Amino acid sequence: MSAPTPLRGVALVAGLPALVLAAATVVLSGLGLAGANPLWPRTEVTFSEAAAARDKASVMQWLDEGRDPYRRYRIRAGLLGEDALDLTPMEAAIRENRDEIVALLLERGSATANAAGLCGWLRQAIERGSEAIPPMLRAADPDRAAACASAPETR
Amino acid sequence: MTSWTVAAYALAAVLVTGIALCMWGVPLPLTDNLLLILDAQRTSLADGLRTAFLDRGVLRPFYWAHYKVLYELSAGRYYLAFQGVHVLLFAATVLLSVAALRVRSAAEWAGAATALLVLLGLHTFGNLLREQPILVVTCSALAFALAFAETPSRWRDGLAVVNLIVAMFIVEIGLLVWVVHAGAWLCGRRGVSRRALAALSAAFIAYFALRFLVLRAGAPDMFPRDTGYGFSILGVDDLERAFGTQPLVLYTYNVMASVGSVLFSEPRGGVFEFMSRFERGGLRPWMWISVMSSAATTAAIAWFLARSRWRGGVAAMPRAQALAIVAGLVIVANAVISYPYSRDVTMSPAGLAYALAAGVAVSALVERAALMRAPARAVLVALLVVVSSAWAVRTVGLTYSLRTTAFVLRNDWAGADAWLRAVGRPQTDPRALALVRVLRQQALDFRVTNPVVAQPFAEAWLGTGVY
Repeated sequence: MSAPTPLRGVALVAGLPALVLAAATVVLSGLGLAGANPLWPRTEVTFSEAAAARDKASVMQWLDEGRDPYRRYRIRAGLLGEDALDLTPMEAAIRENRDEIVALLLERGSATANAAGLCGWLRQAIERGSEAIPPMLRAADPDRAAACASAPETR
Repeated sequence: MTSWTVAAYALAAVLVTGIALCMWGVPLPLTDNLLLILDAQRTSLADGLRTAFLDRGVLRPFYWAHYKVLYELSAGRYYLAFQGVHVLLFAATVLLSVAALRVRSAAEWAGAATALLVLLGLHTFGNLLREQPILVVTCSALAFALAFAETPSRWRDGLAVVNLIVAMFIVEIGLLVWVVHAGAWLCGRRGVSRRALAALSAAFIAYFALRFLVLRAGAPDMFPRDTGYGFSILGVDDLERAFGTQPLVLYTYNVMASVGSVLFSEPRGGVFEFMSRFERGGLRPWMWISVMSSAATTAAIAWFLARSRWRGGVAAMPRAQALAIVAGLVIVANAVISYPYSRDVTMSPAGLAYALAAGVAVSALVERAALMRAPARAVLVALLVVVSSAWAVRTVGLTYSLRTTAFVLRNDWAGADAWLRAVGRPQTDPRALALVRVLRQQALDFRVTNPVVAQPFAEAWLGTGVY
């Protein structure tokens, strides 16, 4: 590399962003292969966190594996608010207006097996201003949904 | 070859490896691949090729053949075959781009370093990596490398002709391979021989004769798909209503929009999203970085072309100027071929050409800076570093968007059966059902990090590649 200065210096400075990126690539790729990439930490999520954060694939996998969809799971602080929360996957999905997750949970029997929660979910969905979720909940269990309708806030 | 050549390839190899590691673990795109893979399972190569040659509106037999060959070679390890080849072709594309730049000096190395960041950071390339296949852009990069070689050789001539034939039967933008060779020849480059150029031109003409006179492919449909126009996306029905009697208005818009997308990162897919958000609010830092870095780079290329002077006709045109002019031709030709609709990914060969043009422009700027007095030199070098840093951020954005895409695609595969029903292709054949089940399970088995949880703040600066 016998280019005369200042050409060589100018070239190296101009190429500096690419060099820095290459150095960062080496370090981060190495850490990534070791499972310790600081930019992309291997973050485990709970059932309810997956429901709130559009992780349909994980929700489906856990339903297939028989994980309990009626339990409350911890949602870490900062994800849905400043404080940590304990919610069922359905409550988390309704809270975040995740229509596709609600549909999946209903399809797998979450509403009929836990019908007692239906009125609460319906009320929550209406409060959240969702247009898609209340009809889904009503269609999942029309009789109980009709009973819920006696409460004015779920009409 | 000099030590600067080695340094350029080493830099490319490191960046390619980093991005390849991010690509590995991104599930196959469901909507772009599943039906093609199911067709590959059900149809023999001969029948599939016959059907593809007899299609109306499109002539892409090798596009389908690409899926068929990979399906047969995979022996059930579908991800390894499809994504493995995708990653290898990506690496080849980047390395061939470095070859086309023919780095020999410090200034050329600096140009190549910037060209790499532009190539990897530009949205056309990002979309290409998230989707499949990349083959036609690899063919374009190979064409640049061959056309800008210093001397012709028999193997290079033969490879150039095969490359064109493969490229133009993959997808229509493969015709750009001929544009690269013809443009380079007109600019005095002799990487392929006169005889090879004649063969390339004969193949190019034969393509049109075959398409319009022999086969039924003909021209594309008037409005083959949705496209952006102004500040929104118009569906096919809307396009019929608005442009049914004057499609040339839309086509002209599409060509201009496609050129603008490469030169200024705006509009995107025909939609002036940056302008729209500028008016109504909602611009994020990554959008500014995209538009400003592209505008500055385009200004550098324009400056480079404007100051081009040489004596002795086209045969004496310096290599760098020839490369920038051919890149300009490719950008315009790519936009013209893409006239029916605006889509970022169809401009990916133009994006590659743009990166090469940026490389030679930066090389010239570095040489110029070295001759300046210290204060002016400092200002110019600082500008180069700022613009190059913006492209580095866009390249980091590519890795972020790949990881986000992995999350989205894994979710897509979770609903693969519902998607097949929605597009009117529910499967009943047990072999097809088993294939869908295996592909779906392979996608679900990836441990994909949820970007909302792992990187909640990165989106604002890095973007997901789409508005």
